[in-house]
Order: sequence, then structure tokens, then C-alpha cells
Amino acid sequence: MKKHLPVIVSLMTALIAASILPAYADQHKKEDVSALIAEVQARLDTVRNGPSADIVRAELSKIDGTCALSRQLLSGGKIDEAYNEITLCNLYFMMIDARIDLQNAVLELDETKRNLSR
Amino acid sequence: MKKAPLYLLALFLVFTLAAHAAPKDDASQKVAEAESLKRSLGSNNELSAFIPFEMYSQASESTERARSLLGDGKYQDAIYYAREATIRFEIASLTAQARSARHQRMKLISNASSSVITTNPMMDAHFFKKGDVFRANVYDRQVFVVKKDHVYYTLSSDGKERLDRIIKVLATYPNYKLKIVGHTAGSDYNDYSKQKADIVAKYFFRKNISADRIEIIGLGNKEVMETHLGFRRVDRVEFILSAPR
Repeated sequence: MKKHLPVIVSLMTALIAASILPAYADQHKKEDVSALIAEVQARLDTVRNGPSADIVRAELSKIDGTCALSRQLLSGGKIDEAYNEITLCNLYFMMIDARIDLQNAVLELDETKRNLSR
Repeated sequence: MKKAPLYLLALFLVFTLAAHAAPKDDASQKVAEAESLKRSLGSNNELSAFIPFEMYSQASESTERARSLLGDGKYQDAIYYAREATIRFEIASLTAQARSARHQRMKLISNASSSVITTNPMMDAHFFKKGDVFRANVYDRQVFVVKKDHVYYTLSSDGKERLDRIIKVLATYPNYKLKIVGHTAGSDYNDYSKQKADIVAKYFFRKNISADRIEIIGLGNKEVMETHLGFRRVDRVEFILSAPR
């Protein structure tokens, strides 16, 4: 058994290394992902200071969380995962637009009901 | 000492299993969440007619992909696609709710205007006051001949009836001026928007409406209008009536 010890230990080290290290190189560049995060942050600040910030508070906090996670992944060297996270923010922005549109539609419906009941 | 490699191997197995169990549970939960959203949205009879097809089908695709990645043991990827699907389903739901509210509003307006029997030609011609002017819209299908889903730019008998109501408004208010604006949903090939407005204007001239009172405009697809599906580009002819200054 003793003579197999170095083989077993080196095999296990290789397996652990394979499970921790990525199987392929990152497809995106760190600078590109950084720029995307900055872009999302700027867009987020615009929405936060806009008139509809109150009705999309939930989405804003989700984007905040996603941005923070993306930054964390990027600093940890997981560039592709950071990229995937930040792309989800685009969908959250679409959700913000949909929420505002719904709010407007409901307000218009209420106003029409009020007008017609007069 | 002899059993040291076995202990190491056991430790490694425990470490690997523990490392894989957490993402698996998380991925299963996220995929189940997306699938449950899909089911609830699909079975919602009130909203099903208003769900945006593209968003819903993309979300369904992502859910299936997440499920298949979960089966292949690619948990991180499964989590990503499940999250994407969940967000898309939520967007589809919000959009459907907005469309439903607009649909209800349009229905209320149309019921109110059709239930009132009036001698007011403005109401008969469906003119609504917007700012300083009165506006009415007539869809292409309401005014032109339609055969096998194709619109031919010739006035239909129903269309002439509709235009007669507008002519009645012009007769009632002889000092008012009218802009006839053609709109298209897609590209304005061959200046179609202007041609549509021209056809309508010629009918007005035949009915002794002075050319001085009419302005013909072709706007192409530059302007949107409010429909029950939100603001859309629609094939239509718009009438804008303005009082003399």
C-alpha cells in the first residue's frame, strides 16, 4: 500500500485541481465585463433618480445585488460567471419597463372608469 | 499509517459530495420555481390571451434547457438558465397584465360610445378631443376593401359609410379644417401612407368638401397609437379636425 501512496495522493490532487479550476479559458475579457458593470451601474443610477423609482424598488434592489455579485465574481477571477450575472441585469431593466407600463395602464383604466361614471 | 490513503480517499469523496450537493439543491429549486411560474402563467385564463408570445417562448426554452442541464449535472448553468426563465416569465406576466388593463379600457370606451344614441356627429364619427384638436382613427381594414387578408386600396361600402359620418361633421362645422393623415405599420413603400390619405381625400372632394379645408399628409410609420396591446404602429388613416383660429 505504501508504495502506491504517492500515486494515490497525486491522483487526488489532480482531481481536486480539476474540480476547482475551470475546464476552459474565460471567453470574455475582464475589462469588457468591468465596462458592462459600470454601464449597468450608470443606468441603475438614472432609474433610481427617475420619477418611477418608487414602483420599481424591488427590481432596483435585485439589480444592485446582481451587480455586487458580478463584481465579486470578477475580482475572484471568474470572468465568464461575472459576465453571465451582469447580462441578467438587462432582463431586470426590461422588467422595470414592463412594471412602469403596467402602472400606467392601470392608472389610465382607473381614470377612464372615473370619467365614464360621472 | 497503512490506512492513511484510504482515509484521504474517503475525505476527498466527502468533500466532493458536499461541494456538489449544495449547487444541486439550489439548481433543482430554481428550475422548479421557473417551471411552476410557467404552469401558473399558462393556466391563467384571464391573461393567456395577452401573454407576449416571444418572451414566453424564450422563457419556456430557457426552462427546458435548465432542466436538461440539471439532468447532465451542470448545476451552475442550470441555475443561470432557470433564473433567466423566471425573470422572462415575470416580464411576460407584467406585460400581459398591462395589455389586459388596456383591453378593458378600450372596451369601456367603445361600449360607452356605442351605447349612447346621439345626434352629435362628432361622437358618431368617433372624434375625441385631444388638446386643441379633435382626432379620429379609421383602420385600413375598416375603410378599404379586404380580400383574403389582403388590403386593396379601394374604398369599401362600410368604409364609405364611416367617411360619410366624418363628412357630416365637416358639414356641421363649416369653418373647421381637416388633416387627413395616412399611417403605416411597416415601411412606407411607394409612399403608401400618402396614397391612402389621397384616396380618402378624393372621396371627400367628390362629396363637395372644398379642397381648401383639407390637408393631406403621409406620415409612414413615424407615429404610434394607443391600442389594447400598448403603443403600436398601426395601418390607419387619422383625421385631425381643428377649429379656425
